[in-house]
Amino acid sequence: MRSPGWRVVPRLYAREMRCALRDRTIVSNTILLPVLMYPFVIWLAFTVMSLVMSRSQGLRPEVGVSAGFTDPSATIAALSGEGLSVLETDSSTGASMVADGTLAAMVSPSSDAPAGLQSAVVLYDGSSEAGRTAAGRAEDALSGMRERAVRRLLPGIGVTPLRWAGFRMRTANTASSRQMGSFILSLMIPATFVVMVSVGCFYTAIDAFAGERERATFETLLSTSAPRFGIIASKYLYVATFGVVSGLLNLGAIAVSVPAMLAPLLRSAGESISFELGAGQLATAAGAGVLLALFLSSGMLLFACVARNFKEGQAMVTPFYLAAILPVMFLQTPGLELNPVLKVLPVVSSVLIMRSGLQGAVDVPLSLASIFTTLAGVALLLLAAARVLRHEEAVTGSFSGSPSALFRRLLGRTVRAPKGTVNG
Amino acid sequence: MDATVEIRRLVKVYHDDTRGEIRAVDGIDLEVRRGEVMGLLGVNGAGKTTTLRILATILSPTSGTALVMGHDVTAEPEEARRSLGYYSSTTALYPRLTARETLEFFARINGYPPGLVRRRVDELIEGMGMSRFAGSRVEKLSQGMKQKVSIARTIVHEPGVLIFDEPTAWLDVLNAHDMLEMIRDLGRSGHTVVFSTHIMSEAQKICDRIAIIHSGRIKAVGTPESLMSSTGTPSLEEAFVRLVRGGEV
Repeated sequence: MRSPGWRVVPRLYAREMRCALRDRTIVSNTILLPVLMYPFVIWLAFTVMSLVMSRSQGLRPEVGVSAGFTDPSATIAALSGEGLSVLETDSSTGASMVADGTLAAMVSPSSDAPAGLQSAVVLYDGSSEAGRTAAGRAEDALSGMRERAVRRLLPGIGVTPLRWAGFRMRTANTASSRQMGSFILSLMIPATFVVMVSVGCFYTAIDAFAGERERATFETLLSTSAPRFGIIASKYLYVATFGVVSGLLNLGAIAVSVPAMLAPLLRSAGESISFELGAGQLATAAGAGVLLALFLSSGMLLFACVARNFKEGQAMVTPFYLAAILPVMFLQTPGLELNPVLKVLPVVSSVLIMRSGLQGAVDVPLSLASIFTTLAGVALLLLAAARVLRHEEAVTGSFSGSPSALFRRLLGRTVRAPKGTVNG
Repeated sequence: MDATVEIRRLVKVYHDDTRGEIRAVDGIDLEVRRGEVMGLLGVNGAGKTTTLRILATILSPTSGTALVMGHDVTAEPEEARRSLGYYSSTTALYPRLTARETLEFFARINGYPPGLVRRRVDELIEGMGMSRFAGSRVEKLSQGMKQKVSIARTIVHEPGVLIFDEPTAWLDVLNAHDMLEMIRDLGRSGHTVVFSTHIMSEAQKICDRIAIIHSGRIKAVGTPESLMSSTGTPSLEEAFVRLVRGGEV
């Protein structure tokens, strides 16, 4: 029999994939979640919004009105016209009723208004929904009264309504509805995309080593003639595949669900925005996603490779996961673009390539430089993992203390005398 | 010379933060002949598992040499691994593969000729009575069925040397009995078997020769009968106690 050498990698990879695709946790986290998350989140957001709006519209909060207004009946009529129940009462009683929640708001004439100016105070409890709604409607009613009063006075002082208006302003957006859609998607997609790719890599990276050790299959694998580099390579490909698949499924779900669900909703609100993505935009976003998955999977594999169980795996990988996704939160800032400084930051540069790709404005030289630095980062992380796994205590999980302490010892500068290396 | 396993002055030293230097294996010499069932008999912590893990190339020796079918475990680890089948109470099977997939996988990654894998797997499934559950996932199998698959996994690539490290640990009486029968049959069919245990009756039942190991050193090697006669004891257990507590023979 000949040594299987590199030929063993596809066989090991196929085994990893077959087992993972039969694992419900991995399938639900890396396949179902990315596919279903966007449609579900959009549906949930609009359902909740509709519920809140309909509930608010159905509310008829009770407000108190005290005596002292120039035209009390007009004030009561204006408040009733804004969907408020009106109770006539004095100011101090009304204030007490607002404080104990019996009234949503209290409308009284203001005592400190300059002579000749009628003024009103709206007292409400801002911590209650009824209070906020009542205050808003009372303000609308009183503003309407004021506007009507002013318009009645204008002819008397020789001012036409047009002169009173002064000047009118309007804005004109030159972006097409498709450009607006791309812009919105470029802000929406990258952050969740990073999370989805991370989730795809997270479980599989832990499963690749901690899962094998916990199920006691790792020693079985080590006793075969598969070379160690083949084992590491196949596990990396396995983790990266799930990262890529997770990300691409998520991208696909966005490309399908956002135009189908968000665009009609916005259209009904008077906004015409097209969320259709072109093949070039999708291809650039997908390419950036693959780059991101290659990097995240190598980092997570490095931190997961010494974990002896899932708990240790989570403890080791979570800091890397957070470190990877936290900068992305700051990338929501519109206008932030790939530049010579950001191109050397692997996750950040991938996200910015994706964003510029979605907006249809990729800086090719900077993007190529980012790809190169990210791939260099991948190589370094995998070399570090290979270095760690040369030590038999790391491979067999026979070390004492925490995995992070082992890491510091094996990768740190003040490395103690090696405890032995692993064959092959 | 027909030794298929040769161990010379094998030493394995561990460093422990609290206990300092630990010599788990301390200068072992041992030869196992072709077709022989050799038992490594010792208490827990005697150095049995470390020795077998070095033979299986899972651990590397601090010094000394170990050859499996002529392949040095340090210089030619992949060749050594291809020549042996390793089974331990701590090795398990992939739960989500079927029995057949398991055997095919291990045959292929051990370099068995691709064109012959299917025939070899069919032969094992038939020969070991696994036809009924060959298509079932390992996670669904009973302990006895898993045991058969594990043995088949160990021998699927037709290795010359088989290593069994405490194979009956965690097994109930009936499964342990079946396991020992299978190991004895493998020995009779021409495989070289190195078998570790701390249970005297198991060693006496299936081993052609026994090496008594204690504190990382071989105290004596011989047939069960020769160990008893050389120590003047009526049982292997008493021979073992005398050798471990009373010096070498």
